[in-house]
Amino acid sequence: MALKRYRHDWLYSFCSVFSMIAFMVPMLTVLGIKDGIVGTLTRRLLENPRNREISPIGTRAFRPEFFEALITHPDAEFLVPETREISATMNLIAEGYPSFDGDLYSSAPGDPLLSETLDPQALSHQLALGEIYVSQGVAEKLGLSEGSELTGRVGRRQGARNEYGRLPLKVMGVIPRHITPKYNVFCSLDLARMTEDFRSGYAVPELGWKGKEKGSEIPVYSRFRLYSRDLDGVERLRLHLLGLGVDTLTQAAQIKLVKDLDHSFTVVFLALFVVVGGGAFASAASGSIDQVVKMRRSLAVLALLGISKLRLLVFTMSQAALTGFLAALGAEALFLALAKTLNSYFGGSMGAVEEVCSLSAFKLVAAAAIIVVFMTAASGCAYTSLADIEPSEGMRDV
Amino acid sequence: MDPSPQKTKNGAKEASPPDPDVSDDVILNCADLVKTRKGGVGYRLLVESMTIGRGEHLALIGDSGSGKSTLLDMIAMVLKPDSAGDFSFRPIGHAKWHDLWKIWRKGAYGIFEALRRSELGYIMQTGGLLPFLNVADNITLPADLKPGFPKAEKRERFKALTATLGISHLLGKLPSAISVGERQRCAIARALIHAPSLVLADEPTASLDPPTADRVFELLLDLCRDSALVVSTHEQNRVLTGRFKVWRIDCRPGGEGQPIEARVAPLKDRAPAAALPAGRVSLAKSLSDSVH
Repeated sequence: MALKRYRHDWLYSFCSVFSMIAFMVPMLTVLGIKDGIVGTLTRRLLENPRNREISPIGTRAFRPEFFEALITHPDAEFLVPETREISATMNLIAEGYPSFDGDLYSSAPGDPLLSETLDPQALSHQLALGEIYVSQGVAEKLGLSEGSELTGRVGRRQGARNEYGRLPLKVMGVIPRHITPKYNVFCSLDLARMTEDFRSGYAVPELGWKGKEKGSEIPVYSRFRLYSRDLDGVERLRLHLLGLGVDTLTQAAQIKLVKDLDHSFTVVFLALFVVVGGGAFASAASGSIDQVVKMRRSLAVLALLGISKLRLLVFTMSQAALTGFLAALGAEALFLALAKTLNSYFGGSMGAVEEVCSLSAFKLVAAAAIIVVFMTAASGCAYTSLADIEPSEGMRDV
Repeated sequence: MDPSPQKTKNGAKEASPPDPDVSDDVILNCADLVKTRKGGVGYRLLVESMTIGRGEHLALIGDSGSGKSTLLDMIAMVLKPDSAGDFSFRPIGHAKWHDLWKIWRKGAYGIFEALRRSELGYIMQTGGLLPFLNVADNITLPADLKPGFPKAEKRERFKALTATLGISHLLGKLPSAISVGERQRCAIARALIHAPSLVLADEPTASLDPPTADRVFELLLDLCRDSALVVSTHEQNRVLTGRFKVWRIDCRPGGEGQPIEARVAPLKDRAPAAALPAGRVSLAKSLSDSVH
């Protein structure tokens, strides 16, 4: 019956649906832009493991116990010790190219910096001494690609003499520029430590490098690379390390920027929603009250025929819910068209942001549900005018 | 709850079973039914004793403002009386009496809703059809609302009623697209579709031209066989035909500072229509008439 009545007063129904669409489309667009831009930025931040990286400032001596304890922190995903920055370089020599020094990073299976580039099997591979990954910068300078072979050379000064240790290297993969913009070589922790040892004047028998005999002392590392499981964990890990007296460097500024952006958008959206939504609610409520006033005679007749106030309210509310549903369908169709236009129009020019405006299917469904509830609730305001309808009014013209 | 002692007395009375004298065919029983209205000199309607039997055709006459509508509303279970000695209703074919006065005092409006849905049919002055439903949907609505009303019976009654009332060609139309007389015939079909125990018609012919009004009355009388019919009208001529049991509401001043007293009583004198004052008579005139 509600449907028949809805269709009968189609002009009113159409107008109320349209006015709700007019309210919903801008709301969805603002929300879509927030989710689109902030979502893209967040995804990029998340996707680039650099942003989850935490490394100590300055040079200190970290013992294995420190690392063992640190990796048990619930926010810690990956941890690898690093050698002294000053000794963590290697001269790279490839045929036909001028040699140059690359920065050494020690790596281990599961390194987040490599996770995007490598397939899971390669990611879990323990690098052998002569196996390395190189950054795109290195690969371009030396004309390297996966499988290329080259020579690594480590130098030290002994008195007036330069001494070198050499080893053959094999490129296992190239890490793209957006992950490591510098000239980096990822090698096993062993190779990094051996390089450091050689620079300190020790012999490295495994590689046939000569020098002083080194005792079997416990290795001590001066740096590390720590990765948080997620962006929010970065700050917690930072504070944790600060508590241990370790000052660290994080991408907190970038993370904060995105969070602030998200926050500002949320505030703007909420403010808009409160103001515009309040207005829309009031207008929907007044529309429903008007409807009850307009339908008063019919409602009174229905009451006279023995339909309870509750069912009359359901009758009124179901029409409002239908308006909400139709408005949600219309508004979301319009929104999707608008989002597509915005994305194709700005998408190219914004570069860093793939999607200017988008909403997940879940949010679209949620928005539709909210608007149906919203309309139904607004029509509930008509209850007071409904409540004082007397069935006796149905008996005669008032 | 009204704390007046009279209520307590009524409460005691209604607890006892209805008068055994009441015939099996009686569906509505009123005794000492009182309704007062404030404002001006005030007004007090008293129904000392009134019964409505199955298939009985009853006409309430009285001048404008005499209280026909008030009484009809009380019978229609939409207006609460101020007090009642007995005010009970028994649907046709049911053994159980519903103590309407007790239901009013308890505020159990759900029972009234159920009774109105199943056992009452209404014909309003202007039809009271729902503007957003077509004629067929309007007519079948009470049958759809009556719990357990058989589909087959609904179809049968629908066919018979629409044929008898001559509205079979209007079924798909909206009420706004048909004439006032046609609407009234649709209203009759709606009031009867669900085989109610009691059909109430409030000035059903007031907005009709005389020939149409006559036809509507005829149809009403012909169609209300089992159902009792109560018609309120100020067109006395139309009901003084011998086919109605006529009850008249007479108003008289209640004396200094007292409300106008309206009493409902059967019209004993079945005088020919011509002897009665034609058309509307002002309340003042009828008051002075009844005083003499």
